[in-house]
Amino acid sequence: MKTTLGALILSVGLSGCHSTPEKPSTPSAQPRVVSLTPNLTEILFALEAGSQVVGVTGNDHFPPEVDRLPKIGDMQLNYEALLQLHPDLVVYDPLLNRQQLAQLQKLGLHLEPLSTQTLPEMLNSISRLGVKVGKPEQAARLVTRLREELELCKKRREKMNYRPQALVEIWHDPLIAAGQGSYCTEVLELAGFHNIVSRPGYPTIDLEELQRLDPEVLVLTHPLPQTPVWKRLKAVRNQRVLEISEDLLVRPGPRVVEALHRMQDWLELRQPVPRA
Amino acid sequence: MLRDLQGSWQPGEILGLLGPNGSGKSTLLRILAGLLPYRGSIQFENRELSGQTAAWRASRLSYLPQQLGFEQPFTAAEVVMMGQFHRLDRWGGGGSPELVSRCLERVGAAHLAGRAVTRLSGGELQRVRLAQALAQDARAWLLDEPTSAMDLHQQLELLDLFRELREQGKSLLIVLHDLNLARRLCSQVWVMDSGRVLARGNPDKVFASPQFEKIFQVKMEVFWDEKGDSVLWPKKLTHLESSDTL
Amino acid sequence: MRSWLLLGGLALLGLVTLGLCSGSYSLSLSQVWNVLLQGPGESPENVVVWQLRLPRLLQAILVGACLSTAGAAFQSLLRSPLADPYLTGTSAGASLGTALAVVLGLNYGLYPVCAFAGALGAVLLVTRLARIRQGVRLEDFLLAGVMVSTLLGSLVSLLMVLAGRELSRLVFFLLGNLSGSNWLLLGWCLAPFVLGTGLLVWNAYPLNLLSLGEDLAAPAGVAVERVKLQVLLAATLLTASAVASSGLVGFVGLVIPHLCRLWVGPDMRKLLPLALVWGGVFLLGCDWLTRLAPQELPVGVVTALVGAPWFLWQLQRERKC
Repeated sequence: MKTTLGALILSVGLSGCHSTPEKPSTPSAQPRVVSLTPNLTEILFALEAGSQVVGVTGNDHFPPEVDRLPKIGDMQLNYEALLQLHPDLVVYDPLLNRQQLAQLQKLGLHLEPLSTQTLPEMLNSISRLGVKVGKPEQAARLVTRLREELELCKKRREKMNYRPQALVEIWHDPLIAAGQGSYCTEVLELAGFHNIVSRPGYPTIDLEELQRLDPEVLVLTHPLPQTPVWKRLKAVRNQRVLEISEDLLVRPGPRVVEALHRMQDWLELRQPVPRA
Repeated sequence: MLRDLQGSWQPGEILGLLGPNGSGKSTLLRILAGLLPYRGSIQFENRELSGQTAAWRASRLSYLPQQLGFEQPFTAAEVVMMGQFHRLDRWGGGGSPELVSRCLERVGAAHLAGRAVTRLSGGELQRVRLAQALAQDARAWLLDEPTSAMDLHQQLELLDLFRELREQGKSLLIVLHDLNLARRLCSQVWVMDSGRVLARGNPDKVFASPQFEKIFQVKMEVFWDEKGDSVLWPKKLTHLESSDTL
Repeated sequence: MRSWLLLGGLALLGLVTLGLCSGSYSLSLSQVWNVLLQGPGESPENVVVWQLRLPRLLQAILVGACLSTAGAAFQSLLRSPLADPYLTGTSAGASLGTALAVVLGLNYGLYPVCAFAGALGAVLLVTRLARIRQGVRLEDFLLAGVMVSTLLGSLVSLLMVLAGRELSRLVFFLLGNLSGSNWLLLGWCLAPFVLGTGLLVWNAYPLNLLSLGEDLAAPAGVAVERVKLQVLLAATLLTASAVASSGLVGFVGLVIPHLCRLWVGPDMRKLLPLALVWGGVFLLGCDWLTRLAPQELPVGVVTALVGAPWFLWQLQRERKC
């Protein structure tokens, strides 16, 4: 139950990839694209293919231009609205549940699953998406820029002496944290933290476990719950709470650089807490 | 729906209520028991009935509805104890267990005391409920066909009980179907039809009246038994004959 | 009855001890004891015991007791062994209140208040609908309860679709959940609990008469309408406070009073205390089980999983007797 909830909340896939039979497409230079995942929308706009995006989901809010685009549902897809847009290409993350995928496959659309579970996968997907939408040069440039930025972040990390244990809160009620092998953890560790949660995926953490872990730093994507249980935590008392926009942290896209900068700026300003 | 009802009923009097099914007998009893609202005036001991508390009513009027089963497995003794409700404290304490066993004994149901009322036969149930009414000890009794579930022997015992109650000055209002029973028991009978009382008075007179014959579509024949008591024998009227009597 | 009550008390004591010592933060019995003697404090052990485990255990007992006594009252009043505290629309009302709070983006602390208001509103509506003629006929009451529940339930579904990402909260609420327990919530629950059980105890003996039928109770001196109203109000208060604090924990209100009735018979004077204690025992036990699972389960799932087989087994045994 909670895993599915986690998946709902995260809007990033926790399930494996599906290999979809690709329909022989009629390549056009400027295909009309519908994006079923917000991070792919971000990538499309970063590829200067924003004008080709004809439909997005209700969860899309970045860049601001997407607010004007037709919405084809959020949790539930509106298949008729999707067909009405006559897309040449539908891109999605393999997080899409099997039922929705099966339904989409029946519609005779050109589907393109693009996995973005890890940073290398994301970079790879940018290149593939660039080719699909007729922006290969832009894609190559973006990938090169992102590689360089990530490399810079790594170098910056090497110079830092503060490498605290952190817990990343993805949802607060119930508490869901980023676990090992997740995209968030990859970003977190790249920035210079260690993830204190040893369970894989996006596990639910009960409040007792939170007390036991008592991380040095809390990375919150929602406001700190004002209860004694949270206020007592080491991180809260030492003011080691980093608040970061959820979209920035959990959506694998070009804005990952922004998230990394924000985390590293925060880290550089702080010193290890002296032991009492 | 009852209309134009007037009448009175004295302490120590047994009033018989007769009438075809659906004539309003049970409705009248339910109104008197406080279960249905009414318009007009019903007075008991010079007080308007509708304004009184449930406890006040309970000490004056007890009611035995027509055959009613129990769904909750209380024991017979517990059910009889509940008859004393208006005298008990809020938690049901302060009742007299001796009274309970006396009441059960009086109706010949002492052996049922510990039995669950959900497992009793119709006649046994009726006796437990009579014992409950005895425990309630109200001044007036409203009885809806009390003899229906009983065999002949039990019916005769019931007659004795009613007479005894009359001796104690209780008033009884009994819905009956058996005319001979009514003649042996009641000083007065009311005959109801379509929500009105159409005939009232001495049973023998009422049963011989043309109204009675018209209501029930019967003609009464009188026999005398060897002791010289009269016995009524109703005979069905054909449609032709009944129009003759009009 | 005495022995069942005693057994229930012992079970409560045992389960509280067990509950205080189990959880993902490992603490030994002596550590727990020391922390309890210390009083509330700042150390992690102290927070775990005083802020997490203790309120949760008490909440489980309170909610179990609320639902179970409310169920006993409804079963007696409606003369139906299948009556459940939720059938009067309380659950649907509370769900709607919470769903509205979620969709309107209200402060988290206001959720129980909204749930409570929703539950009371639903019951008032049901009572109003059932009061067509003078007094409340119980058949009308049941019917109105079902209709209002259905209506409000579909409104909840509508809001769930609108809630989008906040959906998980609603789902958790609908499954019943004790993990959000805290002292404040417990305090909120306590007043309706005391008032509700007090009213039920006050009406216990009249309820016995009422359970034999209104035709019998009223002429015997029971102020039927007043008793019905007080019992409905009390049972609603109990249900609403349980639902508001812990969501829809199913099965407790149906099974526990039923079992207690098998043990001591229909007398409410015995049934109420027994249902109170055993409702607490049952929910406390189920809540303990939820924490054994690798992933914490919603307690409502466990109550049904444990309750249904136990109930069937008891019924089977009763048949054979």
